[in-house]
Amino acid sequence: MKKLLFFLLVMGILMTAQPFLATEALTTNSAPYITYTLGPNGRLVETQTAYEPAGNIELDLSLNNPEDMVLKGNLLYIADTGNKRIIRSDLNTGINTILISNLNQPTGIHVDELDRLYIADRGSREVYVYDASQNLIQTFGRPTEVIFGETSPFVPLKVISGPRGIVYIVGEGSTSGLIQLNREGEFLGFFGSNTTTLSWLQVVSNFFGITRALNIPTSPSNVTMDQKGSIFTASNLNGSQLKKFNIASQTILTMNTPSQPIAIHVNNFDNIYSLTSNGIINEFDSYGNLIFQFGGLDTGNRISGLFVNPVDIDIDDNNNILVLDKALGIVHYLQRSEFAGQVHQGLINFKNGVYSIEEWEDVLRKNSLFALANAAIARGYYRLQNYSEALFYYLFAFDRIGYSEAFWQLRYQWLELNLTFVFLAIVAYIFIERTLKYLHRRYNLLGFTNGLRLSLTTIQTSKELRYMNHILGHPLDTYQDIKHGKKSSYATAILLYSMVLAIALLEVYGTGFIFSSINLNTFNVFNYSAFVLGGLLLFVFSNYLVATITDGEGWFKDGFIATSYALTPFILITPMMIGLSHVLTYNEIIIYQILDFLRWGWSGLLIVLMIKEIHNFDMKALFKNILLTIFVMMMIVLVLFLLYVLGSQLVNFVEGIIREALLRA
Amino acid sequence: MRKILTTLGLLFGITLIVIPFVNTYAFRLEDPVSLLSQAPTRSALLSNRYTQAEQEEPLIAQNLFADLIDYEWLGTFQPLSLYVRRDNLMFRVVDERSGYIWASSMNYDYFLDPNSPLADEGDYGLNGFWQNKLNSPVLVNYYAGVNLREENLFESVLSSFIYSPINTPTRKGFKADIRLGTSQIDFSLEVTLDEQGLHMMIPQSSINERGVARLASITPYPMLGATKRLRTPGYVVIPDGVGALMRFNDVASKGVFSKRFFGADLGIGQNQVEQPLNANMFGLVHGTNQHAMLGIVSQGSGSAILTHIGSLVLTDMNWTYVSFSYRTAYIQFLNQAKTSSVSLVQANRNPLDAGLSFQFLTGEQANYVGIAKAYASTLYGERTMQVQNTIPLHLDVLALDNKPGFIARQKVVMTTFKELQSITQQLVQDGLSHLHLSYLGWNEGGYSYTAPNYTRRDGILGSNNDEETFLNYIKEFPIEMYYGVNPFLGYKNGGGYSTNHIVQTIGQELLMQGDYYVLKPSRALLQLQTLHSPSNQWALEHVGSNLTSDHRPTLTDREAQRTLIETSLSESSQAVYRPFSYLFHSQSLFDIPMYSSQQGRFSDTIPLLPLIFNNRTHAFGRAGNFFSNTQNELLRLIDYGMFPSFFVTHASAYELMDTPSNYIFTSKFSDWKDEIKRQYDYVARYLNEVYGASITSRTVLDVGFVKVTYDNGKSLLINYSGEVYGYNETTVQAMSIEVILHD
Repeated sequence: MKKLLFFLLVMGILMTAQPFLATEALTTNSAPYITYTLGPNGRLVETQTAYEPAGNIELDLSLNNPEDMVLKGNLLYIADTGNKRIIRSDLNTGINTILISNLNQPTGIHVDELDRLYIADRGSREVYVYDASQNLIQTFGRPTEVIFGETSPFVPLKVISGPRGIVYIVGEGSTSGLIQLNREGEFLGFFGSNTTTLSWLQVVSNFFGITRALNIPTSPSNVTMDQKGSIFTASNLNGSQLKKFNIASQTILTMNTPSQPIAIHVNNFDNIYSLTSNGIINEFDSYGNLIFQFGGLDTGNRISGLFVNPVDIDIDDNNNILVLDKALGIVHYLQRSEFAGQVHQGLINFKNGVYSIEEWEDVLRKNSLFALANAAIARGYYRLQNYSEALFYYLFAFDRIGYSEAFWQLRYQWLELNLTFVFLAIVAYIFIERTLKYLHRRYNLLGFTNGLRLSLTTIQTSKELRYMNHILGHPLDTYQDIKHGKKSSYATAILLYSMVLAIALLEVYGTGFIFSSINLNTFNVFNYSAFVLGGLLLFVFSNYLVATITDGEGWFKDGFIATSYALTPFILITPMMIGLSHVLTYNEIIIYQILDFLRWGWSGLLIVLMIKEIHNFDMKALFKNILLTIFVMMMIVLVLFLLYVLGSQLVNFVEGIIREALLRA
Repeated sequence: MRKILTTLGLLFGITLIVIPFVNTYAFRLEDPVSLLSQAPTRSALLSNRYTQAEQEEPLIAQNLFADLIDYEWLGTFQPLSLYVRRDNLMFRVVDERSGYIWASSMNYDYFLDPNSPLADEGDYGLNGFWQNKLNSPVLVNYYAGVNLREENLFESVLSSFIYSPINTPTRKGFKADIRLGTSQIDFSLEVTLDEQGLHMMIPQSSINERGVARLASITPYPMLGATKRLRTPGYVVIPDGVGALMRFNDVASKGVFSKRFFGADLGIGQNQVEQPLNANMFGLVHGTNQHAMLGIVSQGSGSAILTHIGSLVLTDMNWTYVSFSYRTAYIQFLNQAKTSSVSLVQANRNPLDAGLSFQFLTGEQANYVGIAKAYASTLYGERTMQVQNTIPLHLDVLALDNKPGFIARQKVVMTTFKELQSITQQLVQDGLSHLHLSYLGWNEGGYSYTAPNYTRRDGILGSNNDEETFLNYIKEFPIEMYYGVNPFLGYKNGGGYSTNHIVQTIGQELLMQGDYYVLKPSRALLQLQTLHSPSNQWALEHVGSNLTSDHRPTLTDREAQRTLIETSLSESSQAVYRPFSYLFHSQSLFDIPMYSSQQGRFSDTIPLLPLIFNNRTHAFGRAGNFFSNTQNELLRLIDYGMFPSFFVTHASAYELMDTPSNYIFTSKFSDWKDEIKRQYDYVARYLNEVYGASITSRTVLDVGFVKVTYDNGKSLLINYSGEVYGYNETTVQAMSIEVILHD
């Protein structure tokens, strides 16, 4: 869900990005598009142009709505769909050859290691295999096996072949996944199907046994294979559009693209490239981290580097990008820049187990925000057991998991050195405390503080605050005291609410990096305070309203005060969590989670008890009251929201009138 | 309870010990930036990203489609003579040096006779309507209601004109009072020849709309300099981005090129999506090094549009013309949600005098270099730039920016005055003493979200003493210190302006660009007097590359805005970012585009702007921090004769992450210091050889191999490609440069 939101955001940024319409005073790009990379905290940041427009591949044959291409060494094979033929272009010599003509509607081609040519012919609904001398050696039609299904369509769009001659076919409407055939053309099964999710309505329907229309998974739209034979698919989904499968058809990696992907390619060091229908090219490293995102559609002037109707992407041996443009019938050429080359070299070294920190620091010098570089340097230092440096770079990369691991090591080192002193300190503390106590009892050593203590205990608020201690052990008594004994006051309750707010804010600002989840730069302290205090007040008020009509006995004051005391666990446990967040790592996250559960669970329980005691409800009334309270809270929020909307409309209206009057005056 | 407190105490204690590990900031990166040079692919060198080699061209002794039969001689100013036909107002300009005829119309008879030597296979030909149209001295567009229609002089029998000659010692030519029958629009057109060349003029005062039709645009002499298909080899020179060529190529599918001079007009709802036309000029070449024409929009360039229609697009001709736009149609939204709207036509006519001037070049001057030089002479006169002992370096220095904070926006200090002084000192010690500094974000609050308030310096950057010390320090060196300002925008949630100061669009909306309102230039230019700048020099943002019409309280068209900006800033010693040609006279020009918009119909990218600036003013390319192919960009700088530029800060660009300047992804000076010196030294090694000299020619010798010749007897051989090239005795390695003396 988070990822989805992020990519929606990314899309928004891309949609609004206009390379030439920036208010800033700088040209940072040498291409008609902005190149982005992943910065800290998963946000997109600008970077140097990774691939520059480098003209087109010269083809003296004209193409008509080509749909697919495959590059094998220097030989570029193109499915010239509109001309019903396959052509081959030698990029070194520039010689173009018509390999096969008189096809019906060739939409997919593939060349295997023996230079055999696989052609998916959408029109004739067959897949052809030609040998290296262009003799037709095999034709795969619709599988006749029973498990293929009687109604399953067989409209091949794209085709690839894998180890042992296994053929994977992307079929139009083939919702079960890729059609997998063996070298004889026998149907082996469906591969890499997309999953479906149930909407909440469907879940509810299923619960009540109502039959609704079944969800049909989306069929993959393109397929590719890496050098190790792993299959990658691109599908028209709302998230995880790119998937990597293992041999057992299990998804082992997913990636998101900002819009619908139509082609996917893996290069010789396992970087994954995808092309979307709106011309955006994404490059991921082999772990699925986004490295570069760039590209776009042309608006009519055929600007070099922008596409009209891109349909396929391929990478040559120099890691330059080829993009097949169906509408223009050309192959765009984008040349990898030195900067991208440097990033690639780092990735290759990293895969080979070489942790070259200097190399990545150089990348970082060229882009201080490059998250992958920060993470790579951090991992490099981690391997070198330089944990404090690693910690430092993990922090810049906003990599919480890596940070946690490095911190664990640092803490371990620290404890190794200082554990003795820690224990000694604890023992010494306990000893001194015990001794002082003993001496005090015996000789009234601390007698001079008695006056202070006495005066403290006589202050009303101080007395009342002691009930915080009391409520933890004897909640029912405490509530009775508050209600009948009038043992506390508005002033103390307000003090408690202030403490809740202060601690809530302290949690936001003081929680350690590993456990902090709020982005401080978008955090608004006023909104948050209003949310916390408003929420509490809303609860107390709603509860009072509901209680008055359901024969509750408590007054508003009782509820107000008792609620503040019910929050005692939150007030006491949260500072502990803040402190722990600086010394715990993800290995001990369970401690943090238990405390988290404890503070909410305990406070919640005290609130429920509070309602029961203050209003003197039985269980049924209590249950009813809680539900009604929640309902009333929702209603109040709704009404306030409506008021806000109408109010701002009114303000807009008045503002408009005033502005117009001023303008026309 | 006590136990809890004890644990807490312990935990905080440990935390205190651990925290120092975490809060260490600032990078410790010292190594120089490495260089992995990479040559562009052959397809790139052959694309419109680079200038292409000239093909062998036939000698064009005369214009086969024009003659002087029936033409009356009006006058001669050497080397040009002007002839006219009184019956249809067509004229001929004869270049007496070559005898070549530049004609305002062509002989279209080739199509009547298939055996005509001028006929080609696949000619479209012209029917009577088209012949009339292309023989008309003017094409007029007008609105009938909201529908755009066109009329030429010979379309309606009700149209007429009165010819009257102009004959003074300094001007020869004619004036025609034109009355159009259908649209009922009258105006007068003057065509004159003088020492400077040929001029066309349509005074605003002569325009009269007699009927209900409302004038949209006038195009004088659309066929001047037109050629037929591939009969005359050549190209159009377009000031798009850094400069571009469209060679005549007889390709039907390339469509019509049409672009407004000086970018889109946001005031009428246009959007800027490409590089704009940066100068009010265009060029036509008929045979490289044979015949050329430079067209300058001398008046009304703010509302002028350049159009080129290649052969086989509509006709058999390659024609290029300038139109003057007087009115535009627009969409008026009736509610804030923009769900309801009406189409309307601009009520008041743009009050502009339309003027075009033409100069004619021949021989060695007849190419894009000659055209650029001729334009520069018109623009700059005798002015040359002030040369120091070495070429300059431009540094953009960001002082301060801001990001969301606990309550108000929080300042992010990037470079204080002391740090700026330290940066300057380090560069001076390295021999980089000729600097053009622009100090951005020095004002109260920092760079972003503070415009148009530049009256106070932010105290966080240092004391007045710090500032004075720095300014005194740089006095010893040829260092220009510009204070970056942008009084032309107003932050939407900020102050310092009122609603009356905001530009209003034709649809009565307050004009916004991002988070800023666009302010009226008249007001912004007044502001300039009050700005803080002890050095009295400003680097002006926004104004250079934005020209917007304003529609309230009265219409101020782009031409009026342009004139206002040009005259207000004419005598200032300012620097301007990405300027249009009316600000080319500024002391320093920053962030000059290094590419054209590379439309598919362009054949070449040429250094048109750099050729104009050459030895006239200090012009700098884009910041070297953001190069992705460093060596290639350096070669380009040297080829174009542009000076290097960098964007630096003292603190790391990482600090800018949450500020609106987060598009700056690398800038820390200590990271870049060595690389700045390396790049500067590389560029200076070659450009110092020709610093203060003028380019006389630029030739592409082979794919990616360029020779630039200067008038001091030196030439630069620039090899962009990955191949080794030889020129005479000189071998030029891949991606490198050699300096040679003239052969």
